[in-house]
Amino acid sequence: MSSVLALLILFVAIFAPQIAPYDPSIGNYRTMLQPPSHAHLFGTDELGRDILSRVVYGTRITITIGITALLVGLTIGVTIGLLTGYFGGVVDLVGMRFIDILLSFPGILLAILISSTFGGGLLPVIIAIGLYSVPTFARITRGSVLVTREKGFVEAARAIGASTPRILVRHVLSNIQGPIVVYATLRMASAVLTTAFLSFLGVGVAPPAPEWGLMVNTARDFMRDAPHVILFPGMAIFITVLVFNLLGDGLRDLFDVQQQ
Amino acid sequence: MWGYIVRRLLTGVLVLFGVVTIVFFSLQLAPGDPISMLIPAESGSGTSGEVVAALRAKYGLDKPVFIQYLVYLKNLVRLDLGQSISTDRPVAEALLSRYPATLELTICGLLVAVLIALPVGIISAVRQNSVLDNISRVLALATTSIPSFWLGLLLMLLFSLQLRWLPASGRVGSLWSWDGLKHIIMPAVTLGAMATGILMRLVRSAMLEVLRADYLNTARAKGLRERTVVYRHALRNALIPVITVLGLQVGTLLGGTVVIETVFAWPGIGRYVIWGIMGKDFPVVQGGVLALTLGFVIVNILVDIIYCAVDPRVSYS
Repeated sequence: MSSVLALLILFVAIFAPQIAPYDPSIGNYRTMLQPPSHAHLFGTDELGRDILSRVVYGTRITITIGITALLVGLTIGVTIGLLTGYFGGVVDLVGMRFIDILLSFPGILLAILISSTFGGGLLPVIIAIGLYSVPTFARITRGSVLVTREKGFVEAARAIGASTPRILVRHVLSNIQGPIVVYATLRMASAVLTTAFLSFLGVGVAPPAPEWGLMVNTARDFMRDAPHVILFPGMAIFITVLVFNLLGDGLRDLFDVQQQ
Repeated sequence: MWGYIVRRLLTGVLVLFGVVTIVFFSLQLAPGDPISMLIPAESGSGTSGEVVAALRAKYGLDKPVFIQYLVYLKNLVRLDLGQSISTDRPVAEALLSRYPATLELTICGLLVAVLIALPVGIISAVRQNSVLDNISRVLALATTSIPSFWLGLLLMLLFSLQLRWLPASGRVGSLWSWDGLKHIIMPAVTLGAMATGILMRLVRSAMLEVLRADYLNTARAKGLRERTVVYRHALRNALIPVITVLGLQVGTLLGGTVVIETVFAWPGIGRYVIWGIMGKDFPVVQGGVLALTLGFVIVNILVDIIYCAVDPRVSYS
């Protein structure tokens, strides 16, 4: 079920221009802060823009940031985890102390710091969320590598003279995919949340982009008279995070059963 | 034990040194100059280049970055975090005046999380696969997935703007006064929700694991009441992994204060950091991030020590 919903979210992101009934950036002062109606299913915002269209286009921004940031975090984190776990010694000591320092930043503070350092916008948010995921990807990979590197098939590959990169990619990485895939799915949920957090705080995607967290932030001054302005973008974040959390949980159960 | 504590403290100092270094150099990469934020070029104020140069010299921004770093470290040892570029007040002083607000909010948030997660997690495990268990699992998933700033705004909409039961924002008076308590309820519940789901799931799974253990059958066979078996024998053992995660969740909550303090205009360090970021006030950001990280590092050291004290199988070596 969760995988169907995740595919549906992807579908909305890809076909946003076909699905959205209006242009998300064009406002109309005559239709400002209108409640949900037949013409505007989610109502309109403080500039008279159709909230449904903005939520639909927002899916595209969120999914783009989520997937790209995930790839950044995955590539750097898994590489660090593979190298530190496989080689051990000084590489492990230096690499893991660096990861420990990154992990000692409380909550999303590291992402806020990185995003504000690079000046906000789409690319800084991607870098911020990507780097924010690095420590945990590195830890999970390292833990799995420590177990796998002692296995017989890795020893056998070493004995027949396979090169280190080949052992790492073909034998070690291919055998630790399970936990990484599960974590990546759960991390997607976290990436969606972090994107919204950063934009809400004003250090993420810049206005007038229809990003969900930004929409909630700019609309909160009007929520007393028009509660729908914060309701629908927030609901979009909540549902997307929920779907990826459910998918991650489902995949974890699946891999657990396979391992047993 | 003392040797272990000293070692953990030394590791904590090293981690803080790493944090200071990362924060310092990453802020140097930030585009824009704090002085230009203070005196915008287009302001037409006629500020001469000499005044800008004097201000840059005053805050040490005219020196090479590495020298600025060494000066910052030297001052840090004397607990001098520099002056805020925007207000010209010592950052340490501003942080000290804001620390109680953040600490109060974090502790209350943690209390909310524990008070919900512990009983619900226990009941969920004891009555596995019951309706209550299913409801609690949905609740855990929902609290993990809900964006806290949105939850905060929804609570504000309902309890402040519609029902007018609670104040929408700010911190007034002591926590022990009725007014102070009313002001912290919504921020604490919103912050606590960030940790509730994870704790609830952990308490449930830890309890399920313990409830299957042989020693609990022995306890039941001795004729002990189920209540005693669950609370005295099972819960005490299930709490061991929960303590570690509780420590990590303090990190989530400390980071979360940045968001919650912004939503509820709570005058703590989190809001101060965001204010510093917006104004490119480097000393404020450095000091604020360091203060929040210091709190997290201290909690983790305490958790490690408590962990060893609670579980005799874990040694201090």
